[in-house]
Amino acid sequence: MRAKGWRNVFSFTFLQYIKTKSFIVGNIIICVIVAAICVLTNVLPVAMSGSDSSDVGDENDPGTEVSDFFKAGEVSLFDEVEILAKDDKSTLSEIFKDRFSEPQSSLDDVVEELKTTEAMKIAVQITARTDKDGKVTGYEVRSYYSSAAKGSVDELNGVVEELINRRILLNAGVSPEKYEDTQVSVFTSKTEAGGKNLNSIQGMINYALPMLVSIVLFMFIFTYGSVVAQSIATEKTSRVMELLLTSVRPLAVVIGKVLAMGLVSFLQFFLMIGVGAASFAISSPFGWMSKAAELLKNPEIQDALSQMGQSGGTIGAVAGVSSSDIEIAQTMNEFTKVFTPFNIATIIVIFILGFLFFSLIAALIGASVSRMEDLQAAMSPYSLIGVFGMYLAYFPVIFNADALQSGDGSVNPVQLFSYYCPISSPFALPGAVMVGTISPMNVLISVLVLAVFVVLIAIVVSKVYEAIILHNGNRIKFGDIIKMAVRK
Amino acid sequence: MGLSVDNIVKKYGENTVVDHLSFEMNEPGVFALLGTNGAGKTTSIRIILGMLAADGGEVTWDGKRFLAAEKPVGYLAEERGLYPKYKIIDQLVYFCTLRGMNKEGALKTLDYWFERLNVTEYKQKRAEQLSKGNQQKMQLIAALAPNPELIVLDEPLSGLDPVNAELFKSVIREEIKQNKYIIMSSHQMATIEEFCKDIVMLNKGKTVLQGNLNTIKKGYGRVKLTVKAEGDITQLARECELTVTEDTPNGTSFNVKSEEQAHRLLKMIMDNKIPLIKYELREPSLNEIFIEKAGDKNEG
Repeated sequence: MRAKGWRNVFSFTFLQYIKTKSFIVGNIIICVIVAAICVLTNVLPVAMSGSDSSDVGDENDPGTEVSDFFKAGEVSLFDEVEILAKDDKSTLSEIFKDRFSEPQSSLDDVVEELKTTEAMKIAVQITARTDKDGKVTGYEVRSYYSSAAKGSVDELNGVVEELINRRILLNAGVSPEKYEDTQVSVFTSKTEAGGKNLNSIQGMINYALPMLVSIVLFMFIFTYGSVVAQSIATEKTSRVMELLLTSVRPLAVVIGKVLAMGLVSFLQFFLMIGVGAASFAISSPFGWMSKAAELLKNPEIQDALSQMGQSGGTIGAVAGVSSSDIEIAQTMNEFTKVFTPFNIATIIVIFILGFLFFSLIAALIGASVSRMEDLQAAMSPYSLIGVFGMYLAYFPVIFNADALQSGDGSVNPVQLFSYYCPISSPFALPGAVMVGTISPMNVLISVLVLAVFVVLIAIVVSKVYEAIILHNGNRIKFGDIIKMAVRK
Repeated sequence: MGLSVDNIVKKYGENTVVDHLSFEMNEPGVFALLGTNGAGKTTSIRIILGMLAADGGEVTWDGKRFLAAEKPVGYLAEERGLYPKYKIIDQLVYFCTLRGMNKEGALKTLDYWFERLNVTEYKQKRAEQLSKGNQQKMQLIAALAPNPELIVLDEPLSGLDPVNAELFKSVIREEIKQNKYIIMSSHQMATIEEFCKDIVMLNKGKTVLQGNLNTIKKGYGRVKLTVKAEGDITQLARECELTVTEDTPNGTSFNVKSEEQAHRLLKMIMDNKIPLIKYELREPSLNEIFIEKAGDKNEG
């Protein structure tokens, strides 16, 4: 009976809010940004890998490539230890044509000239490092550059480094034909026995997803909680509240408002996901997702994936498919497993409870002010709780990066605390559920803890809201509200 | 039966802002709640409407506990409130539906009221685009559109120009004809005298005067004398033991203890052949009663 009329408050608040210009314009901007991010995330990797493959030189080329920008520059070589052979210098001559030289003047003179020239010039000095017996332990490439050549110096250093490495191997007896065979990368990874065997992309997702999710949820839950406070404070300070209270009880106003803003935030959240999914779908023919979907149709990959078992694992080589493509397929396959009905339901429940937790606190604060100017100061405890909760969810993930990327499933004590603490669990739990660092039983306990706190706050609201909503004068402090609830 | 307010008390800490207020409205009509600023009128209204919980006493309607949220009440608050950014029509429909009307019924009723108060052209505008007077009209519409049996008007005419004040008065007269129970709080005593049968006067939360307005006035008797003559009558007044309370171009006013005292002064004026322009012996106005009851106790 105390909440009779909340439906009217709910529908009016909801409809009026979604009709505001700021909401419509804000959503259009957010949708455009989300769509752009999703399209770029989907298309860019494929586009970039395409441009990489087109830049591969011929077999005689030792991997040296230069940018268009650098092609106009001049290079002076001071090979003081004569590690580079004639062939290597010829390679440089082929790249830089007549702009490559081995000047007779001293390095100091050339460096002096570089100070004032407006041309793109780099002087490369190669020296050796030795031990106490004079044995060479390494080489040092130091490049002096004019200000115009600043952007290309690392690239040139890379070229010279590769030439030196190649020469060392050739000097050690490796034939030029076999040199290419030595140019393979070694990737390392670690997996705790019993943990998930993740590929590099999955490891990155495991690490980045909880942080991203915590920030996004914070934005929605915290922001719309603030909107509830502002809306209630506006009604109170504009005296509309007095008119409302002749028709409904204060609790109905709170419930109607909180649920309306909850629905707005919920819809906006799913609008973003919808726009993101649509953007991926539209850009799919040009992006990695379609590539992954195609790969997943490959019967050999399907067989390999089905044989991996519960603990995951890296599938072996499949004829005609590169390892990186297999990783994409494997990641896609694992990622789709995240969206189980249990996980989706859990995330929705946590979202709702988290929103209720923060917006009920915000509603109390909004009701405690008599002037809009006081609202910002009154919201300080709310901001403090929200931001601290988000940090509590965010930073332990950074400090646990190693475990998350290696997939051993372990969480540090602070991370564990963030799953159970009601001010951080709304931001920490969904990400943890998605990457599987929390067991279903612990999810249940965490949700229960959050639910208990939501009920406690609801009790406080029902006890003190009627007393503070018509209070005019000095702002009621947060501590006074708690004392008032305890007394009642 | 109607509305019964029985011994309501409200305290803020040690300060008692409403001190055992009681009154009854057994039949339709206008009841006045009077008092200086800070006398406890608005708090009393909030308690009657159920917005504030009383520390003692109760409010009943037809013998049952009265809750405004459960029975449609028309309330025009002293400090007006509309959503500044929302369209008038949207918010008025909202207020009507909160009081149990459906949307179609609300729109139909609102159209009548927009026309009645000459504000049809503003219904699609935002509240912030309206003048103060037109906002006040919209608030009166919000109060009356759901056709409530009980209406509370807190300073209904303040800030209105004479034309719109007359429009408001005509609307109030119509509501009276429709047998509505109206509680009116105002500092404009002429308006109260025009509409109200019964009054309660508060001072610092306490009831200092209560009852039927005519009876109260009759109780005072004809104790206000105003005389205007072409000669000086101050000496004659002194002889009749009368003290001047006010001396204006419209005449000299006195408080008389009895009608005989006034007649004695009249006889002396006639005997002295002083040409008399005006001689008025009357009951005190509500304004004079108000100042007497509340004025000297509220000098702070």
